[in-house]
Amino acid sequence: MSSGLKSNSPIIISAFHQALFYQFLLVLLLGSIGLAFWVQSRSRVLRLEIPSVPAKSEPLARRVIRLGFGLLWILDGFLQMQSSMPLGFTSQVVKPVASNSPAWISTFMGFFEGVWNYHPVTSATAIVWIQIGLGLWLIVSGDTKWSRYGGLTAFVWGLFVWGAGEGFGQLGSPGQSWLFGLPGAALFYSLAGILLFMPSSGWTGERLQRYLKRGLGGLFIAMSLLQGWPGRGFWQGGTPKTRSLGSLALMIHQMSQTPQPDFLSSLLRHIFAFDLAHGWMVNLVATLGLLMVGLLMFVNQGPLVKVGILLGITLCSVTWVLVQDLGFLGGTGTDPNSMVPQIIFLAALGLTGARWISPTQLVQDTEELPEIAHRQTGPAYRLRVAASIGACGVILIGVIPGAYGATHTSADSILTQALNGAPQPQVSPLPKFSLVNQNGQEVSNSSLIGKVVALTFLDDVCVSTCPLIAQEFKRADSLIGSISKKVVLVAINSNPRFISTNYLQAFDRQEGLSSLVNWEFLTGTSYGQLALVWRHLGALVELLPGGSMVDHSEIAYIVGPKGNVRYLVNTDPGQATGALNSSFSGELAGLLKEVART
Amino acid sequence: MSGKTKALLAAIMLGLLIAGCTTPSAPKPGSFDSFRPLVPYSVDSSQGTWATFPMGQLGNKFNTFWQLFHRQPGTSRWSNQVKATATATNGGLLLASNQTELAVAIRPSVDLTFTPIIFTVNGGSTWSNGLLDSPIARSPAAFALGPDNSGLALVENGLGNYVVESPPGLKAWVIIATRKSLDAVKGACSVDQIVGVNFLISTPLIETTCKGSNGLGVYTVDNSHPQEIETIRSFRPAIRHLQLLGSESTASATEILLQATQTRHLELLVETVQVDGSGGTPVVSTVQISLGNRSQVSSLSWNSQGDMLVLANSKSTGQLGLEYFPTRRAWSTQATPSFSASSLVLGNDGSIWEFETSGKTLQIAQHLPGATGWTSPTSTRVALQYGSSNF
Repeated sequence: MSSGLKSNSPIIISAFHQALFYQFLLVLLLGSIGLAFWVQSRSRVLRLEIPSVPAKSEPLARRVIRLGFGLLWILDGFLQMQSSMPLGFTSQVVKPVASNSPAWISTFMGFFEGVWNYHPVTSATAIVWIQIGLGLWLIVSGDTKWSRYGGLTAFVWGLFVWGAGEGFGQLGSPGQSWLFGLPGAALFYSLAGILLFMPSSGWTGERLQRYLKRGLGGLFIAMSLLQGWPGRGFWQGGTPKTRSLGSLALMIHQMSQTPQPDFLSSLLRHIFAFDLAHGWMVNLVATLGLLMVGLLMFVNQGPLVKVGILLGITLCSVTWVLVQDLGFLGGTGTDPNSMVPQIIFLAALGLTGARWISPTQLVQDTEELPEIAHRQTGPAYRLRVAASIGACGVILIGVIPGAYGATHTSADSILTQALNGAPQPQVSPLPKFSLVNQNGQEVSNSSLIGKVVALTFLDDVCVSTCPLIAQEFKRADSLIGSISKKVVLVAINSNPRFISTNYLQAFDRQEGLSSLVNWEFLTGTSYGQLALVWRHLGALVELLPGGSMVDHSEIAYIVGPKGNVRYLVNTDPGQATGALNSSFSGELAGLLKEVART
Repeated sequence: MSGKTKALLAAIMLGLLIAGCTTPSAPKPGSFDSFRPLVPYSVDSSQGTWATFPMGQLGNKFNTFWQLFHRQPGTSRWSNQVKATATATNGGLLLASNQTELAVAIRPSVDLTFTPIIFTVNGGSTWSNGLLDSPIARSPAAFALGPDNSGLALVENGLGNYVVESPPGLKAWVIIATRKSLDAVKGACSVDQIVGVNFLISTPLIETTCKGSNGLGVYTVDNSHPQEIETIRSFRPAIRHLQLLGSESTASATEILLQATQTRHLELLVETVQVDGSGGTPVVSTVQISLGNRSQVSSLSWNSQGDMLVLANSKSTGQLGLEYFPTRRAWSTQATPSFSASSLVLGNDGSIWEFETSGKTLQIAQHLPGATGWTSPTSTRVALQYGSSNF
């Protein structure tokens, strides 16, 4: 039995890169079409000789949020291109979060984890293009109506990522802290989306500034209380010799172990050593710093708020580097964590006091209607619309295959091929044999002529792998539909002691195979007869010492109706995850269909 | 209250809420398990001595493999016969013997849900197969052989536990008693669980725990009609927990070994069920011994005369071999192991073996009758295949 799939499986990585390459070509195609559309429409607009009118400026705070989060989405999309994403994302990112979350969150995340595990390449590429597309959309759409729709899409997708990927920021999970990312980076992405969706009227006046101040202030105060709450392991530094580390020291230590440039790991090691010795003081500074930022957001004096903003940005920056280790290092980092989004929000808050419209716009206020008419037909506007549509197209390049994968309950066969290699084509005739089935009826190679046969070897008292292989065969039978009538699933007993038919029947009852009409579990009337068949069919069976199961070949032959072996398949179920089992069933069903057709 | 104050209060409440939610909770108290984990077990018969005990990484059930060691009568050489099981032994082995046959039930583990059975009449030279198409219970007294080689087994599955009987060959099992059928016996205790089976001469004997008391119900079954012999209620009320450690039959009686726990204090009780001289109603008698605080039984061994040897670990006295002699109806202290023994095995001739397992290594030493000390231990390495039972 192999150890299972590793996140650096070359077959999966190669398929991932190939898919990304083809999809990139599609993106280029879309870009070319969009450019052609814009060039044509621009020349038509120029021919109309519409006078040039200064454009109304987008509120500065909005622009900061739009461009900031647009760039973040693109960065996240590129981070999703890391080779380890298809097989490493769920095991290294989602699963640790799910296992540390309340049961309902874990169940919710489990659904999406399942979809990803069943279709890792499709899912990984889908996320890449969705996030790059979303980022492009926010950046290129400017302050057009399309920008608002981009905001809405970012809100929805951010919410999805926050729930399915971050377990709702692990709110309610023990040991969480603002320093580690609470309440979750994607929540800020999502909130940014909803702000961008807000109509332009929402960006005028003081209401937004007030809400932003209170929202951010409230968050910082809540996180300060959590940080200072006793008994959560943040007040202690630790002693590495006794492996007794405080929560913060442990986090920094883990971060310093991830692959990263030397200067960063060296810096983290120093901070780790400092926290070990002065854990209490570090937490006091963090708690008071958060409280201070939060309280300053509730005062009415502009300069003090600015101090709060600067302090908040400083605190976020320091935490991002010294605790979160930039958030994306280590091979499966999917975003720069929660500090950069908060810095963007704080910066936007600082700019809500800036001019909302440009000086030229003040002059043009009386000519609002013609200006709007121009904006909606002008070349710049058309360019933004065309680019936004192109960005939507990029998103669809991810969404369409992703949705297709999510609706397919069978895992991709590439998983089993990554584990066991591709099926090996064969051309030899099936060796002769004659055995009895679970009901005592004789079955031989000649009695199977005319049928497509999947033939494997199963130990009838096996405790782990054989029951799984039997289930995979059963599932493959359900996947081939009406072709099942032309197919016989054959297993030859590979236990040298328990060879009587009552053991085969017990195994069938255990696995729910008794009612499967095309299931034949074969055995010999004597050990000698069975051993001869194993030898002819190239199966190795060995009694292991020390109380282990019988060791036997984990292979299957796919035999055509004329009695010729067409494929040799490795049936090792590896770590026997649901995805691997389903993947093998899918592959087996595909081979049976193919052989039945030809 | 201004909007600003409200927002401030909301932030404080949110912080308190998250902090409250995320404070680690205290561990839950351990759950009660009606069956005691299997302990190393050995039986002696005319074919020799058979001993089963776990080896490997005992904290990891997938890397714990129960072994089956055999010693021919009159020799001092042990051979490992576990290959005869031809499947993974992670779930444990249950031994049942009479004067002619030794049967082994392989407790199902991982994805196996039925119970392979093998038996031998020639000391392991050849083996035959039985089959129990259900999971045998984890009770150390879940499997027994009658004098005519018929079998008795306690099954534990989703439907509750029940008792099945098979004629020789151990393949055609039929239900002879369920918890419900025993509960319906008039005048008997209210049955909580069936915990053990054996034969009283050739009649099936069933032991149950009783609801609401620390009594032990003892039943015989004749043509699927259960009859209560006695509900033993002589235990002290302070006893909190009663568990069946094992039972064995001799030609005339059946011995049931119980462990009674009172807070941390442990007592062993031997219930001897035998038919009185007139051949009428069976009677039960009790002999008990106190093992003291924080004690536990580590292994159990019987010989064909019904002598029983218990390896007890006690914080105050260390390891101790305690032997029960049914003829004298008395316990006596036997040799103290020479090293940290995993199990003690009793032979028909009164000799005692001590086994010590550590990972894949096994050490065996012998204490001959009348001798003052142990022989030098011999060391054996067992070829365990870690990781072969899981993924």
